[in-house]
Order: sequence, then C-alpha cells, then structure tokens
Amino acid sequence: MSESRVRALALALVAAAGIFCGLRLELTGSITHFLPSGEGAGPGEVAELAGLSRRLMESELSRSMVLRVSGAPSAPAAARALADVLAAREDVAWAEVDGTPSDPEAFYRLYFARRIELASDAPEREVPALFEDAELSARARALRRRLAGPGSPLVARSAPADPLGLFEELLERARLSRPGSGDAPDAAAGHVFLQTRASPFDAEAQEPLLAAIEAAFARLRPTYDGELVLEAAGVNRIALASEKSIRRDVSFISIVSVLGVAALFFAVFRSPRALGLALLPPAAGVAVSAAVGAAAFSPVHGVTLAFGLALVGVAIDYPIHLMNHHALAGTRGSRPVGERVSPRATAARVRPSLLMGGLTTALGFGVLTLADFPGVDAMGAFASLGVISALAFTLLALPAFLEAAPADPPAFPLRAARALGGLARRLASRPVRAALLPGLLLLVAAAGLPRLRWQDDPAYLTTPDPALLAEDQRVRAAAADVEPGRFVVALADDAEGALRRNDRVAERLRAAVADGHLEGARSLHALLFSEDLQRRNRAAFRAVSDAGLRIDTAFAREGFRPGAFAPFADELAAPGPAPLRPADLVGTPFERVLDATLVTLGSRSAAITYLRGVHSPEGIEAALVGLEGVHYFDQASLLRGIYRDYRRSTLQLVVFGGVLVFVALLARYRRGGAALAAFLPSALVALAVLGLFGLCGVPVNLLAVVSLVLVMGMGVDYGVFMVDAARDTARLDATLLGLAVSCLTTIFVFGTLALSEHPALRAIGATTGLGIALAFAVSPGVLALAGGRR
Amino acid sequence: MRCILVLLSALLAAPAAPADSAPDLEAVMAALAGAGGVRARYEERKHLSLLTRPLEEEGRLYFAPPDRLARHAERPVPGRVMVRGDEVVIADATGEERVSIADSEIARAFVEGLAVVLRGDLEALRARYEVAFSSTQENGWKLRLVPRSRLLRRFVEAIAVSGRGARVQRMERFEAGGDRTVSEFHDVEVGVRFAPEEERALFGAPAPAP
Repeated sequence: MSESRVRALALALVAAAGIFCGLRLELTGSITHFLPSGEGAGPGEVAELAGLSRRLMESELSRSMVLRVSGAPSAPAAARALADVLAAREDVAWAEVDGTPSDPEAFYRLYFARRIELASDAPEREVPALFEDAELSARARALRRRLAGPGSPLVARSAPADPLGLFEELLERARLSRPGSGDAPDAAAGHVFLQTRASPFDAEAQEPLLAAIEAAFARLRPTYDGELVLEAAGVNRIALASEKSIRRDVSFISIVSVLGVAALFFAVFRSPRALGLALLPPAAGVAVSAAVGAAAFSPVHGVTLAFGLALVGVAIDYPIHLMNHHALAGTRGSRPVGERVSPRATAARVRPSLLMGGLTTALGFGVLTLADFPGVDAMGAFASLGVISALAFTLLALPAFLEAAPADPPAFPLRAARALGGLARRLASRPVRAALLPGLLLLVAAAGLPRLRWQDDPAYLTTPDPALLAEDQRVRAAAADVEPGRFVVALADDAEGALRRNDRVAERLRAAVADGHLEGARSLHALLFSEDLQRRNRAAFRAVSDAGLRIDTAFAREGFRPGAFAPFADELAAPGPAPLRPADLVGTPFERVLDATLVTLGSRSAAITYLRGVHSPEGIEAALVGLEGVHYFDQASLLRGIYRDYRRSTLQLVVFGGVLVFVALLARYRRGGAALAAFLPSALVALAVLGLFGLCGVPVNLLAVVSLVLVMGMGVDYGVFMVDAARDTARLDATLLGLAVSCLTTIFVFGTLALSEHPALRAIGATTGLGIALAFAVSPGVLALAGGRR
Repeated sequence: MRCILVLLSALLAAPAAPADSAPDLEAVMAALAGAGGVRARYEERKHLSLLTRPLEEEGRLYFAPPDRLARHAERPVPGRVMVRGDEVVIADATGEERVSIADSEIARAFVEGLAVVLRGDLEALRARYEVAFSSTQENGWKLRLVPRSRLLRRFVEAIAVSGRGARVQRMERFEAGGDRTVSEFHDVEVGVRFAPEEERALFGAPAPAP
C-alpha cells in the first residue's frame, strides 16, 4: 500500500472513530457514577447503604433549592410571588413557599377517619394516659379555647367526633413533614422551596435556571416595599460555580501549556508540523478508546473519560521517540550516514523499544480494569486501549506522514542530543555518582512514606466559594431546612417492615430531639405509621374501659354538654377503617413526601428520615442503638470511606500492575539488571514522589494516585528506551533528547496544572510534573545498571 | 399550631364594613365601597350546641380596604387575627403563626366572601352568595347571604348582616348543626385613614405596592 493511501486510511479511521463517538457517546456529570452500585461494595447492608447514597445524591434532596427573600416586611409576599413565577417554569418540578399542607380538604378526607389509628408512637403507654382525669380536663380546656377562637365553625363541626384533638395533632405532624416547617422558622422572611427537574450537576440545565431566578427576583423587587434581598441554597449553585471556576482555571493553564509545547517543538524540530504529527497518535488513541467507550461503557462519566484520555497522553512518548530518532537518523554518532533514511527504516529500528514501552504501559493501565469501582475500571480500559491504538498508529501510520530524514540533521537538536548523551555517559562511567540521585530518592521514599497522609475526603477536591457556602448554610438554617447528607435509614425486606422500623426511629428521635442531639426530623412517620402500629393504636383505644363516660365527666366540668361526644365513643366501639397504606398517599399532596422517604433498593425497602440541626451525631447513633436494620447515615462520612477504598484499591492495582510490568521486562531482557534498569524510573519515582509528599506534609488523594499511574507508565517507557539504547551512542543521544522533549511536553501539559487554584487539578499537576521530571532525571542512571557504560 | 381550616373560619366571625344611607342593595354596597377604613369595638357571643353556656369575647375591629382585616381580642383572652389578602396571621401569647389560604377552597371562600362585602363589591358578592336585601326604618338595612358553594354550606348556612348607612352594626352567622355566632359593633368609625406605622402595628406587614 502506498504511503498516501496509508495516510488516507489512517485519517479516515480516526475520523470514523471520532464521528462514531460523537454520535454515540453519552456523558454523565453526576458524582453518583463513582459510587458503588451496591453490588460488591461490601457486605450486606453496607452495600445497600452505598447504593442508597448513590440514589439519594440524585434524589429530590440534591435537586432542591431554598430561596430566601428578606430585608423588608413585604418579603413573605414577594417570596410567594417568586414561587408562583418559578412554579410555571418547565425546568422546575415544583415551587412553593414555606407553610402548611397545600390541600387541607384532601388531608381531612384522608386522615380524619384515621385519627385514632395514627394517634401515638407508643399507644400502649400513651393512650391510657390520655384518659386519665387530669389529661382529659386539660384537653377539655384546650377544646374550649379552640371553640372560642376564629376557627370555631370547623372545630365545632369536628369536636363531637374528636374531643381529644387527635386530628389537630396529626395535622401538626404533617405540617412538620413539609420543607421549611421547622419549629421556629424565620418569620421575618419568605422562603421558596423548589425542586429542579435536572440534576444539580447538569450545568447546561442549571445555568439558565439560576439566571432566570435572579431575573424573576429583579423584576419582582421594585413592586414591593423595602430593600428586598434574595439569597439561595442549593447543590446546583455550588456545582455550577465550581465548574465555572475550574473552566476559567483550565483556560488559563491551557494557554500556558500550548505556548510551551509549541515553543519546545519548534526549537527541536524547527517545524510546527512536527507538533501536529506528534499529536496524531495520542489523538488516534483518544478517538479509538472513546469510540469503544461509547459502544461498551455508555453513559461514561466526564471525569472517567477525561482521566482515561489524559492517561492516553502518555502515548505522546511514542511519536516523539520515533520522530526524534528519525530527525537524527542522518548521523551515526559524529559520522554522517551519507544518505536519507526512510521513516519506515527508523520505525523498524525503534519498533522493539516502542512495543516494549507501549505494551508494558498498556499492561499497567489495563490492570485498573480489575478495580471494583465504577469509573476506575472504565478509566483503565480507556487508557490501555488508547495506548495500544496510539502505539499502533505510531508504528504503522505515522511513518507515512514523515519525510525521509535529512542527511544533514539540524544543528540544535543534534548538539542537544550529543550534550545529553555525553552527560549520561559520563554519569554511567562513575557508578557512585550515577547512584547518587536514585539513592537520594530511595532515602526520600524511606523517610517520607511512613509520614504519608492520605486525604480521602472528596470535599477536599473541590474549593467552593466560601461566600457561596456561607450563604448556603445561612439560608438552610434560616429556613429550618433539613441537612443534605444526613439521614436515618430503616431497611427491611418490605415496605411494612421498613415502616415498622421507621416507627421506632421516630420514637427514638423524638427523645433525641428532647435531649438536644438534633433540632428536628422530617419523616414519613408524620403521615404514615406501619399497619402494625395503626392496629395497636386502635386496640389501645378500645381497651380503655368507659371511655365515653370518662370524657363526658371530665368535659362536663369545663362546661360541655353531657352526651355531646357520643359520636367519638361510638367510633371507639366500631371496628375502624382499613389501615392507611403507602399506596393511599399516591395522588395526594403528600405523594412527594412518600417518594422522598420510602424507597425500594433492589428487593428491599428503606424508610428515610431527614435530619435538621444535627448537634451530636454520636448522640443520634446512641439513640438508635439496638434498632435492627436502622442506620445513622452521614453521606460525607460514607463518601470518605468509599474514596478511601477507591484509593486503596487503585494503589493495590498499581502495585500489582508494577509487578506484572517487571515480569514482562524480565521476560524481554532475560537479565535482572536490564529489567531492573528499565523498571527503575517507574518504581523509584513513584515511591519518591509519595515520600516527598510525606516529608512536605502534603496530603495525598485519589487523583494523585491516578496521576502516579501516568507517571509510572511514562517512567517505564523511559526505562525501556534507555535500556534499548544503552549500547548505541547515536541512539542513546537521540533517545535522551526524545525523553527530554517528552518530559517537557508532559510538564507543559500536565505539570502546569499545579498552578491551578483547585486542589483536584493541583494534585494532578504536582504529582505528574514532579514525577515526570524525576523520571527523566533518573534515566541516565539506568545506563549504569543496564551495562551501557562505554 | 392550629389547623388551617380552623384559622380560616376566623373570617366568619369578622364584621362587615359600615355603609351610608341605603335605600337599596346597590346603594348600600356603594356606601360600603366608599366607607374606607373602619375602626370599631365588637362583642361576640357564640351559641354552641357543645356547650351549656355561650362563649363571649370583646375587642376591637379594624378594616383597611381592599382586603385587610384585623380583630384584636381584649378579653377573656388577648389575641389578634389579621387577614392580609391570601394570608392569615394569628398571634397570641404562644406566638405568631402565618398561614396561606391560597390553596384551600374553603378558606378562599371564607376570605373572598367576606372581603367582597367589606369592599362593597356587589358583583363578586352575588357570585359567591345568594343575596337577600331588605331596608328598615331610618336608613337601616339587612342582608341575608347564603353561600352558593356546597362545600361552604356544609359549615355555614347563612350570614345575616345589618347596619345603618355605611356602618355595619350586627352580624349573625348561622352555622350548620344549629350553632350561631352573633357579633355586635359599637363606636363604629368609618373613613378612617391609618397612618403607615399604625397600619403596620394593626395589620402586620404592608401589602405589596400596586
């Protein structure tokens, strides 16, 4: 096949892969993608909780916002108007102001008949106490007060069948089950609670919505008295602000990076075309692996794709290695070859090194596919497939894009290559000096590794605007909203089982509130007891002897007419209605509460209680002790655990991959020294980077570990290239220049991320930049080990 | 906290605005519409079948057109009920509570029904009630209002309002089941203009600017 056809075919394949993944690749932006699905995340209920966490992070809670309008007495009215405007938007599922049940008539129809069944958490103890004389007198006085109040027509209507005020107590519980219904919400402001339809991490959907909220408030504001102020709380605001900030950061760093790489390539190859050619193999690797990802892993998380494809960046080594050798192919040491060397000839000469370097790197990355965690396995697959594709492109297609090497190589790269080669040879001739840097790195590793601190809190990876965070907390506190990320979960085999456990949770949490461990809770228990508890309530009321007579006697003392409450006594004697079930809430104003608080997890059910104003997690955990299937659930703590496992698993796989790579090197070189030499830049640098972080007190996170994978992949390439070139002066010179270019390119591309303000990007940049620089610095020492001393 | 349904029926206990000389319904409503702000004392007696003796309450009533009404009870238990458009505020020794009535059919019926009488909105009054009017001697008049809403009729059978000119003097609410609430108004002042500070103190937060 002619070279022009090879070029056309290669470009067509890359374009086809690019088009395919453009059409098919489905990206997700949710952090939940990185959470274990619930399978294999751990034993039993821990796995279920992980699954629950994944679900909750995309639940209505994460999609909810609280808007606080304050600054003037007209704020509540303005908040209501704002809620009306927002509720009409298609991207808003619902919007309402803090308050009471939206359909009291529906509540009455559903609950009045069941006020006896839903009277008490502990009916065996509390119901008999209701009928004690002093308690009945107190309730009679309370009824009299209500009759004297403005609602007397309705009270008078319901009182004969409800002298004890059971329905009113039920109504109060229901009110507390709604957003913003804390015991002491801020009365001097209006709060709008809304739920977005899109995920909070969907920036494309959230940006116009947040702008529309601002615009709607700006339009309303002049129509109300006073200087109204709008504040807001919502995961979407923080996520969007972080994304914008990272985008700005990356834009700046990208400019620095592109300028640096362009200058470097122009200096070495004297041609901007060289940069384009060097980028072709990694681009091919990216296109192919993304296309396979679109077919096999869709939807792919943006971060997984970004990391997987970033790891493919290691493949920039291969074209640089080939192009550099080809640029200098016109000389053999100080003697000119005297003829133009074809690109295919150069490719054939460096093929063994490239194959060894590329395949060992792919092996190291490929081991990540064994990870238990979603995201990491796909990342490993992307990276290894991308490296192999880039390697194939480098060996098969790239030569077709190159011209024959000039008989007279350019002066600057030639001088630079010879200088680097000479330095390396001098170093190799003095083993003690050659061992200095590796020895120093070993010392750093030995001293620093024991001091290494791991940072497994994912919150550390983001730096939300402190003002935004403070506003978020202020608004949630003022609106008496539940805390995102803290729940009590009652798990059972079916909904009734979960509700039974939820009944116990409600009782215990009530005590915990009284003890000051938290301020309040929002639970389905306010609206729905288990069938068992409903039956126990009915039985407890029926067990009270002479209930009607006792009520008559006590109430008559407060001026009530004897016999007025006969309907209640009659109802106590009747069998009672069918128990209220979850299905009965469907289609009522309380369906939202049901959806948010009773969920199915596979074949099991979970009743979730949201917490407000948690003061003592330990106190809450202690309050729940002994309740089977009940867990206090702190999402941040769970995520820390998951990220820790993630990091450990990745680290173990990196070590395992390293062992495999070393075995492959042994098989290739059949000499321990050469294999060790090839492996040295990879392993030693990884240990030294971690050791240095330990010595400097820099905590290491998951992203640093993933970056180490990249460093080790390139380190193996460096080692292999050096070992293969050790006995050939001209080749060694070209190899060292290639490594220098590769090292600087990587530093420009990845290392510059260390300039970022964001811890996540900074971790990647610092690890990669430092690691690659050290890998290059250690490379000459390989010569001594590989026996390349001349 | 009190039930929203309970809160909203506060409006049934509230008196209508006074009117000027009124030979017919249109003239009475026009007088009520032109009466402006109202300040009065009230005495209320609730005759309830549940109780052996009526419940009594005394206090002051304030009305600022078009839709703000406040009852400040003085005895036997001090307390305030303030209606501001779709919002009802109840304050007593236990604290203050605000309730939106926008979503409740019953509540809206109570609030709108009363509001249309107070602002002299005859068209709206006829839309919500069957209205019977009669005039009495010396510029007096009587209205008998029967709710058109079946739901509302389950709680209130009829409301009788009587007055002289632009002044409401008595209101009697006939409730389902035979209960009855009678409110009598004394020292009725009409055309009252509330100063902003007074308005805030009596009715709570001001209404939105037009």
